[in-house]
Amino acid sequence: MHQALTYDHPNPVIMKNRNTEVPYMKNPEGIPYVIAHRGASGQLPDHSAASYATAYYDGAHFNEPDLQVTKDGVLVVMHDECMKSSTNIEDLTQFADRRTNATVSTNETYFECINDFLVNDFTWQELVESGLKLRSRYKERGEFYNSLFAPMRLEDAIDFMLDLNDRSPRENRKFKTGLYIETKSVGFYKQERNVDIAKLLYEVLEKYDLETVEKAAKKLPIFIQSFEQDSLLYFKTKTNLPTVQLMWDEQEYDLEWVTSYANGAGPKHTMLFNYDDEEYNLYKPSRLIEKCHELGMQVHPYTLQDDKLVYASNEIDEMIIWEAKGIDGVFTEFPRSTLSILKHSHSNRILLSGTDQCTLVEDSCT
Amino acid sequence: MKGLLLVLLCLLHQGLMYDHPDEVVWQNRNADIPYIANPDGTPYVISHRGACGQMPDHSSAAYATAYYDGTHFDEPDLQVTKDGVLFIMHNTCMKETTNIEKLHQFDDRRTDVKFSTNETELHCEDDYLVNDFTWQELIDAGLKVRNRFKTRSHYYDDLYPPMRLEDAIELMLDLNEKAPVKDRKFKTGLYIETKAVRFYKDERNVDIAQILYDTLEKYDLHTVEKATEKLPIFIESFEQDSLLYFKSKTDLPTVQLMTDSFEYDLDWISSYSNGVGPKHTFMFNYDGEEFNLDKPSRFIQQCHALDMRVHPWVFQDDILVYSEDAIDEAKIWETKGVDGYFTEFPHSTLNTLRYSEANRRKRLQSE
Repeated sequence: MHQALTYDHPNPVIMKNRNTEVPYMKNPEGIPYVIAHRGASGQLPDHSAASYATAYYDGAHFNEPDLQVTKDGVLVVMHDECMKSSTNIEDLTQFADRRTNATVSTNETYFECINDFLVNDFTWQELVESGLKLRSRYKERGEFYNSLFAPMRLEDAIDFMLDLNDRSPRENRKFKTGLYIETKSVGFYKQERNVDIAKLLYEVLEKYDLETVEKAAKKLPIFIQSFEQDSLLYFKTKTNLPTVQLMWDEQEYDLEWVTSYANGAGPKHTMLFNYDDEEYNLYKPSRLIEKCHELGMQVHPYTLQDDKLVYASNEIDEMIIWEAKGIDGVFTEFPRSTLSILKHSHSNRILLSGTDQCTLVEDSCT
Repeated sequence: MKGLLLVLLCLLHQGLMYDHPDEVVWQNRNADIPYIANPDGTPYVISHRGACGQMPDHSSAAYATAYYDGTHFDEPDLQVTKDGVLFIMHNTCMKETTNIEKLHQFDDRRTDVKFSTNETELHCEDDYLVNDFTWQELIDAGLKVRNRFKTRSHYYDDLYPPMRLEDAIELMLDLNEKAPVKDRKFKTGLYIETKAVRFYKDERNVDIAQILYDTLEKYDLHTVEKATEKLPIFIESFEQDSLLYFKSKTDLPTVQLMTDSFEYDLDWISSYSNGVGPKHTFMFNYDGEEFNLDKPSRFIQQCHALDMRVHPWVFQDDILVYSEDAIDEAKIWETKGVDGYFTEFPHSTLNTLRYSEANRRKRLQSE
């Protein structure tokens, strides 16, 4: 019934852990987790160390690296499989002959590289020595920091987070600020390039002593997320780290199947408003989230962008709307802003502006 | 009669540095300054030292981030180097916000400075005075700026050099040109503070207000008409002399800064200022009013009656005074009736203002 899977796995998948045994599964502060999508990418280049640093000091609970793999098997932090949209690679003329095309389209994921530069066609050293620099993917977010920051390997991101937590620990936090790691293009790398990205990730985590919940809870909280279930299944056979199934609105998901290998779901935000024939509304809990909670899964939708609001005219109303759906966390590109609003609404039970509609589910508003 | 009154007021006030007419001649008043208030009707967001909540104080990064965050103004503080260059830094000495202690070639220039007037205080202890160095020395030595708060990000420390005022002007002109902000009537401007005015004049024989005026003139920004088109400018100071100087030379808007250690005569201030920049405490304890968080400020009402805008300082998301979160804090200031915020977190402050505005609009619609 399910997609042909790349990994052999026991049937049914044995969850080595469930949410009650993952100490950092829920935010002990009682507000949703603030997960900095590509770091504080609203202000700084996507996936730069600067972006991660700013998010850290902004109070994010997690930074969120996407993984790609170089020709020599190095895990690089980058959202796209190809490098034009978020780096200056087009200015590096020595690579002109490596332009290529690549397309992947499955029911779980999609990417298209047209006349672009595939990360997997380069070694890490080549990229570093070439002067490759990261930039914001949206022009309107500014060009001031473009061409300042080089890309990171996953190892650099881990070292960086360990260092930040060590030198500038966040006050009043039970857990350190962690990493919420996404494996991308799992099928593409496996089938087209014969590379097992999930395995490489596991090995890096093991090298840093972060491959179990016990270690991660102490040293650096880790989540593993993916659009592609195989990588999550792989992880569930190896470790008890929490896994999150990302979901997009072009695919059907069998939530009962998902819960057999995922501690949480990461749906596109639209799915909070149109699941299971529910009537579109801005202030009632989401049916999808209710279902996920029944099945023992936390829900972290994506992506909140202060400069590209979907449901409201301003960031505060937007956040209130998302929160009213019952989210347990949010992928955001403006972590400081999101955290500030969540703290405020948590203590104030504030109303959606201009209405009498109370947006928090349990108590009535004052 | 008014003239006589002003003469008397003049006599009552400190010996002033600048010759000025007995009656300060207003070349302009607020109705004639197109950008004196935010045309949106909402308060201005003035980035205090740039977005220094996240970036090093007065770095180009702080100014750029604030710009993209949507601030209305970036806010440079001015010092002067030995060779007369206007240097952007809050303190008159450099230890707190630069890496100068690491530049050992300058060890022998450590000094102590103490200078007090009834408007401002200067105190440097075993520190490095900006005015003891030339601009080029500092740049060649690799001077870099850093964030003054331990709890804020230090990731960007020692990456950015300080700026001259000219660098800041060029940066703002460039940003406005390359990345104009949508739906704005005016460009994102500069709100410039002259600091240590009397110290520089009396102790170092340097007229910082004049150098500032000359720089603005060089960039064709020295009148309201030109600033309105090219780059909106405010001139602020704790020291009235520099504002009086400006009022005798130009029609650019001036703002008298006020701190709670001194007494101020608002009537006198309104004779040479288009606005005031009070410490935020003024909004809560003026003229015997009872402390409250939900009524308009008597102080602001008084200033408005004298046709002065009010821009209090400083709003800091991580150092809240009247509430437990930044949104409540910003709303409290708004309730008091502010015309602008000196803030170190412009994105955050703008969030709250946009929310308030949405609330207001929805309420109007339903009425």
